[in-house]
This record gives sequence, structure tokens and C-alpha cells, in this order.
Amino acid sequence: MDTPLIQLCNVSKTFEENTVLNNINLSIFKGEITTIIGKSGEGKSVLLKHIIGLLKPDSGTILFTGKGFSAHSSVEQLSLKKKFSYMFQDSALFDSMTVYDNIALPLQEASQLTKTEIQQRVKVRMTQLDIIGTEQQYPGQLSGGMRKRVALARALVTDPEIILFDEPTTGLDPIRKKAVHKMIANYQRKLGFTGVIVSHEIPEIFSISQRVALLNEGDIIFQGTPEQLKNDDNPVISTFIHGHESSLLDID
Amino acid sequence: MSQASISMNPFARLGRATLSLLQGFGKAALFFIHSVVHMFSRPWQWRRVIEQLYFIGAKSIVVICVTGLFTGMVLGLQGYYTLSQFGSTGLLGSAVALTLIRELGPVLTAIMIIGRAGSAMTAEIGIMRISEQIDALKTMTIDPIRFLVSPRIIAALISFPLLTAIFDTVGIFGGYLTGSQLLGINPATYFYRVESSVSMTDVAGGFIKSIFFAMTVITVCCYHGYYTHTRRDNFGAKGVGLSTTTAVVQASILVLVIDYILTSFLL
Repeated sequence: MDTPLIQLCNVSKTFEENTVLNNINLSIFKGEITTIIGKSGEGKSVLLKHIIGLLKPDSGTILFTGKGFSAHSSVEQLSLKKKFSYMFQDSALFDSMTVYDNIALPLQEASQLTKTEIQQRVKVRMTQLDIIGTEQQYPGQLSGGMRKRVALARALVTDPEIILFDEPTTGLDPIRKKAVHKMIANYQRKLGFTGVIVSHEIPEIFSISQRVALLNEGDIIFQGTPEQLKNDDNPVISTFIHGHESSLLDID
Repeated sequence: MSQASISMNPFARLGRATLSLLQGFGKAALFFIHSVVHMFSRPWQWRRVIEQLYFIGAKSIVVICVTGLFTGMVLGLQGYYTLSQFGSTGLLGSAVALTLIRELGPVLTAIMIIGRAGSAMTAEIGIMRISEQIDALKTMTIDPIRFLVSPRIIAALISFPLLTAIFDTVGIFGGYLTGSQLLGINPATYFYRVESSVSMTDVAGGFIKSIFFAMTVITVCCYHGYYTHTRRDNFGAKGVGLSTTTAVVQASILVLVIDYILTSFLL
């Protein structure tokens, strides 16, 4: 099998007394969408933040194309960072900037594109996400669903190679939810980016994922294809996938 | 020795507090150096510098004029009654001008800017921190300190001396209003004394102070906003409020301490 693009090896993270990640091992392959599922509060966002470097593990290593981040040269580190994009769970939009400036900022600050090229790129993403007309509004003037779409537009505007989505469709209506899933899948087929999605949209999210990982009590208890997940007879997995409330109370 | 007995030991607590204080100073120094280095990194951030010049400089003019006017007027009144006891009210112009240019101008300008713009900076950056906007900048490979702090330092280095000059000028005019218009000192005498007593050394000293104050105020206010999430006493909105209070108090005290140190060198 190919070398994973990103590999988490025995990664552990503890916040005060609470161990959130306990010797996690996870492989993310190039050109695939890996979905991380798990109960709320299990550390899925913490896991994503470790991948992008916002959090550092207490122990363990994260390898990018087989090498630790610090083992890359400084030029490689910068180019590696530029390949990433991150969509935050709570959008993390700049609330004192307009929608247009929010989406254009990564291009204005970290690319050599001209003003016209930036305008075109922003317009394309805004059209795809059905937020045209909100350019001069501020995030505080938008609904939760629209803010989510602005955050998605900002994450996609740089045409990144690796995108980390933290619950990209939470709070969206069913039609837009499907549209966003379809857009991620189409875009992934077209450009072949590597995606890591944290999602609770089960089973819809499986249709766009090549790989699924289930995080439970600080450990990855399953990694594999969506089909393998569905056929797994582990009671914790089937409980989570089928959402049996009574069993969920037991495992809690 | 158990953990509990270490925490009760006054020497251990003193040591821990000292180390924490030193660590804080070190962290703030690195924060300042990082932001100063990025003042010179390309591409230039003209738009953000101009925005901050407007916010720190232009929007503070009214406050500085009002404060300067009343400070000068009070100095005129107090100076007149003190000098009249020695029969030397003609020296009022010198007293008002030198007090303002050497001391009160730079210090009061800095303190007024801390209240008007410094507190807003801490709150704004603090809210950006707790709502993950600073993390969002990092994920876009945008250096948050370069983006948020460096333009503010450049704007402050331009604004502080100019606002100090406005404060001094308006203050001297305030002294004239009370000294000459209210209490009857000859205006020509007042302004002659202003002109003859103030040297370029005094003016330069005032500007040197205002430059030091600019760097201190912006560093302290931005630092407390930037690290608001590391506070142990509170989180969220309350944490931002407490960071703002800490920033205003620390910046004001540091302005007075630095003023004393600089005065002792400049005199």
C-alpha cells in the first residue's frame, strides 16, 4: 500500500486530567476523503487541530509523506502549510470584515494573484455556495447556515490540496446539506484533493467518503471503508451507526 | 515533600510567582521583538497601517484636545497662584510650557490613548482569540502577530508624537486662556516666556518619551488580548474583560515607570 499522506503515530493529548487522545494511530491517504465519526466531545476537532498544527501532541508523532513536520526543510514546511485549508466548526469568520473580505483574505495575504483574479475566484466560490449578494454584509448579519457556507467558501477559495472540514454541514437545511456534500464530492473528483471530514451526518457522509475512522473514548476503534464499517459486528460501532439510543446510554 | 505542603510553603509560592513574572516578561519581550521584526517584512501592510492611524491617531484628536486644554488651564491657574507668592507671575509661560512639553504632554497623551484605543485593542484581539479567528489566520499561513500587532505599532509610532505635539500646543493655549484672559498676565510676556524657555532638547525629550510609550502601550495591550485564552482566572467574555482591565492598568503603570526612568536619563 502507498505511504499515507498524513500519518498519526501513537498520538496522545491530555488537557489537565482529561485524556482526549490516547495513543491514536490513523492514516490518511492522498486523494481520498477520510471521515472521522464519533460521539460529541470525543476529541474529533482536537484530532483535526493536531493535523494542521494548531495543537501539539503530548506524545507521538504526525508524519507528512513519511517525515515529521520538523524534519522537512523550512521551504518545504511553508509549502506544506500552504497546501492545507481548515474549515472551523464555529466558522471562525472575521467578524469585523465583510463577507467578501473574509473569503478573499487568504488570497490577498498568501498569494500573488491580482485584484481581478481574486475577485473572479471569490465570485465563483460564492456562486457555488449560493451566497451571492452578501458580499458587503458582515458575518454577524448572516444566519448560521450562511455563515457556514461563507466559511466553506473561504476554505475552498485557495484550491488547497488538503482540506480539513470540521462539521461542514451542521446547521444547514437538508437541501443545502446535500448540495454541500455533492459539491465536496464533485470538487474532490475534479481536483483530487485529500479531505478529512469530521461529521455526524450518518449515513449520508459515507456516500462521499472513501475511508471512515471511528473515534471512541480517545481511541480509533475502526479504520476502513464505509462498507467494512457497515458490516462490522462490534456492538459499539453498530450502536453508533444505527443510533440506538438505549445502547448508547449503556456505552456511555 | 508532598504537593500540598509545597503549595503551602510561602517560599515556594514566592519562587513560583517570581518565575511566572519573569516568564511573562520574557514572553512579552519575544512578542514585541516578533512584531517589530514584521514591521519590516514584505508585502507592506499600508492599508492596515492607515486604518490603525485613523483609529489610534485621528479618532483620538478630540479627546487629546479637550484633555490638553483643561490640563493647560489648570496649570495656568495653579501656576499663577504659586508664582504670585514670589512675585514672578511673568514666568507662567515658562512653567506651563516646560511642564507640558517635558512631562505632562507625553504622559497624559499616552494614558488617554490607553483608555481610548488600547482597551479597544485588547478587547478586539481577545475576542478574535476566543472565537478562533486567530487560529483561522494561522491555518491560512498568515502570521497573526504580523497581521494584528505590527501595523498597530507602526501607527502608534507615528500617532503618539503627533498627538503629544497637539496636546502640548493646546495645553499652552489653555495656560494662556487662564493666565492672560482670566488672570490678566500680558499675553506678549506669556508667549515670550514660552518661546525663550523651551529648547529643542525639551521638545526632543518629549518626543523620545512618546516613542517609548507608543511601543509599550501597544505591546502590553495587544499582548493581553493575544494571550487572553491562557488566563487561569476566567474564560470567554469575562476573560476578555479581565484581560482588558489588566492591560489598561499595566500599560498605565508602565508609562509612569518608564517616564521616571527616561526623565532621569534625559535631565
